[in-house]
Amino acid sequence: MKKDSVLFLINKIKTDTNLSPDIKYRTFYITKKIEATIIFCDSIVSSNSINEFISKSIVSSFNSHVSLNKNNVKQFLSNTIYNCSIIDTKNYEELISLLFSGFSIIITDNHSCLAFETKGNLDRSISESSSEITIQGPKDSFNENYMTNIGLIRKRIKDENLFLKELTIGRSSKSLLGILYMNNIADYELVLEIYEKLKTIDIDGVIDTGYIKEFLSDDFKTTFPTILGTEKPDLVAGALLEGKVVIILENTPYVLILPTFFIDFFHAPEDYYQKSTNVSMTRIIRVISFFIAILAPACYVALITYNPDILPPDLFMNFAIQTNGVPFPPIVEALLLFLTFEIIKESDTRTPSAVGSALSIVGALVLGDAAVNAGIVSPIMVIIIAISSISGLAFASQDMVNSLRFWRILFMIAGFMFGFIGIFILLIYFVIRLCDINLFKKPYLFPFAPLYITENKDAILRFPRPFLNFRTKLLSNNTTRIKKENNI
Amino acid sequence: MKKFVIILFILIITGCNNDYSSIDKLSIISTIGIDHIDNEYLVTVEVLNPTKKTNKDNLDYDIVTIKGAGKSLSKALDDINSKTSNKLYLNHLELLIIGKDSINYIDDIATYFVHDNMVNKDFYVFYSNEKTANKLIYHDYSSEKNSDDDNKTANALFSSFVKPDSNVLKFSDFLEKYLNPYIDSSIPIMSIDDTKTDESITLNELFITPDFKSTYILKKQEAIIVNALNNKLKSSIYTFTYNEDVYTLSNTYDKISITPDFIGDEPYINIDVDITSSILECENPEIKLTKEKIDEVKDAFNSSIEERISKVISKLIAYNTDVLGFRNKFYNEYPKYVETNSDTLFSSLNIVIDVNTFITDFSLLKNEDGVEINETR
Repeated sequence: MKKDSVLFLINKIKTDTNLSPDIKYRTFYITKKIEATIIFCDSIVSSNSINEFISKSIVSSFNSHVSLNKNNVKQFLSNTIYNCSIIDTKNYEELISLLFSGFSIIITDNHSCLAFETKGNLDRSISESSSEITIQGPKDSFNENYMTNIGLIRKRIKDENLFLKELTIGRSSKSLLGILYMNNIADYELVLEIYEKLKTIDIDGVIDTGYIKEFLSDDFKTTFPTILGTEKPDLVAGALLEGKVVIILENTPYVLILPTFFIDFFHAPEDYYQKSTNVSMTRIIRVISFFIAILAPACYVALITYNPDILPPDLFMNFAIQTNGVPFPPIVEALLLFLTFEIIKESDTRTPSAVGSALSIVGALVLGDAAVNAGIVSPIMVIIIAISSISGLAFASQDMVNSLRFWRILFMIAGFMFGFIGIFILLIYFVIRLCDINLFKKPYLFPFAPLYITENKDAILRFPRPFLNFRTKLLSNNTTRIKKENNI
Repeated sequence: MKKFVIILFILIITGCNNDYSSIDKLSIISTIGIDHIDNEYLVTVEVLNPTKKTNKDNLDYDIVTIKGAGKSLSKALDDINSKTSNKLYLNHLELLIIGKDSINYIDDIATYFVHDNMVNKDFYVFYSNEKTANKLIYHDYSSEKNSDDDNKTANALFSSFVKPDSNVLKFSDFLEKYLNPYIDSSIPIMSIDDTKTDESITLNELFITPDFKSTYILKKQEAIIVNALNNKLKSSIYTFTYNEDVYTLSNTYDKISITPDFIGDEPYINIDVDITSSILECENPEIKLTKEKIDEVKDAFNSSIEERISKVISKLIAYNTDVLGFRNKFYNEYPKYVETNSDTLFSSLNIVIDVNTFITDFSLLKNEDGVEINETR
């Protein structure tokens, strides 16, 4: 690279970046005759690293390399500068990508263009997950640092079979994406299929794993989540040991686990840290919560509009008295309350925690009580919507919570239009839709439809650990989880 | 989308959505009284209108009595419907009172309640042989015991159910017998004593009929026997006299079996009754019961009960009203015989009655040694 070509390159970078003020250029002399330019993006590098390990190294050896010429300057720089991540690049696109990835580029007047990793620490530290709270078990969670996230998994699985495949995704974002899997457990065809699917994604930018979820999902119509996103490294490690594949993207704490089955959303990481009998009970409660979440308002609306005859006389009179004087039909009443709850929930999510508690009091107590006293809604409807909404929040996955909300409204409308007949028809359609979902050729309703009796040891009920000898054949050919000599 | 439209269309055109009626827009009928006067049905209904009182703890309902008339029951109810802004709702009906003149139209009444799927079949049925149903519903029940100080007929009546000798009948049980050709119907009689202010309702008597054209009434003691034999009565108070001593006993009917049989060509009904009794009172408390005396009292008691059962059955045979379902029991065992002899079977039945009593409690009566008597089975 001649001097004029170096200038040309610098000018090209300046033009392409529109003279971006955070891109710094500094020209210095390595020897009296050899000139070099260091280029870095000030907003993402650590200036301390540049000063300490690049500038200082070069300046301190200024007089010691009399024999340095244009041919060995690259070797000299590689040996002199204290840095473990040095990339020799001749490709302009790669150069730009490295520049914006926190590398400092040194261009000499020779044919050398060396990139030294000088990334600044822009990441938060490892902290407790705010969206997936656990009472028992590890508290740490992923953060936005790609390597930290991989480290958190490697810390849990110290096995050479934990393989990592990387690719860059996004034309502009050029985000680094890693596919993690256990080589001796996971189905390699599944890994390849995921890899190939990811490779075909041609998108300008991928900011979060949510961007690629829909590319991986085969069924766009379903509202139910088909890929589990989590912040919990212990959950990810557990999934890897089951033969699942994990996708990690830089700059996001949400890691994808796939394939995900419907029943996985009823499981929590701490299910495996507690006694099996208690966990089974908790899971049964989650299943009941699921049905209450989608069916309770619909059943109530159907009961008081079409089928009050099935109510016991005392309850019937109680309902009749409570609903007396409410000016709206039950469906309007339910939708109003439901909308209010969703607005309160949304506001509560977006407001600072200091204001959040005040908002909850205003929303839950003042609004609810005032609405009942004003005769806009009946007290029973408040109870029903509250039970239904609280039941919906029993799930950690926000996708699942949102999906329940969608189906709850559909069921309410069906209940209002056709009573229990409408609810049952919609329920049949709902189950058919769930049965119809496949992700990477794996049935979503596994292990219920098709029914795998032996796999039900860890579905709704959880058998004690010593009884869970085998992994599912659906995900792995290496099914032995507990070696035979230890089997009970 | 096409499938969704088809399903929606099917639901709408099949009438799945035409029963919409919000719970607060219903006139909830609690009691319905049916009279037949001047060739017209006079239907009186007690409607509960839910009201929200200002005081939160005082959630209640208003009771409104509405009457309507029509050539048919449905027309009479339509007449009532026109007098109220809400839709009449019979699904939580608690009480049906059949007035004294309308019993002959029981076919129409039963048919209406059976065919209307918006009426539950779990309400109580009573017959009034003295007054019209209309009068019974308009009666002021607010002083009745346990009726929660309201004037609701059903509540007043339900509070009378606790009386030991009250006869009650659910419409579903009535229907079962009404539709069975080998059992005749019986309906409890509801009567009101206007001279009393408290506990004026009595439900002691039983209305029986073979065909709803000829009608008969069983008095209190007879009704007790019929209910006991129908396994509807578990216990009763019984008084009998032996050697000029009057004994009052509390009877618990342990086992009552009615079995049909033939001796030769003669149809027989064997009635076995096992009773556990306790002597509540004896007019002569100084009496000393020896073992022989106890056996004598038991035998006398058994004979007394047998005699009463026999009398009641004789009366039923005389009325040709098989409310005990003897023919039905024969039909279950010998269907062909009953089909050919159904008209004469009941009147030609031979009855064998065997009552076994076990007295467990002799109250304060003592044996010959002056010690209180304790017996265990």
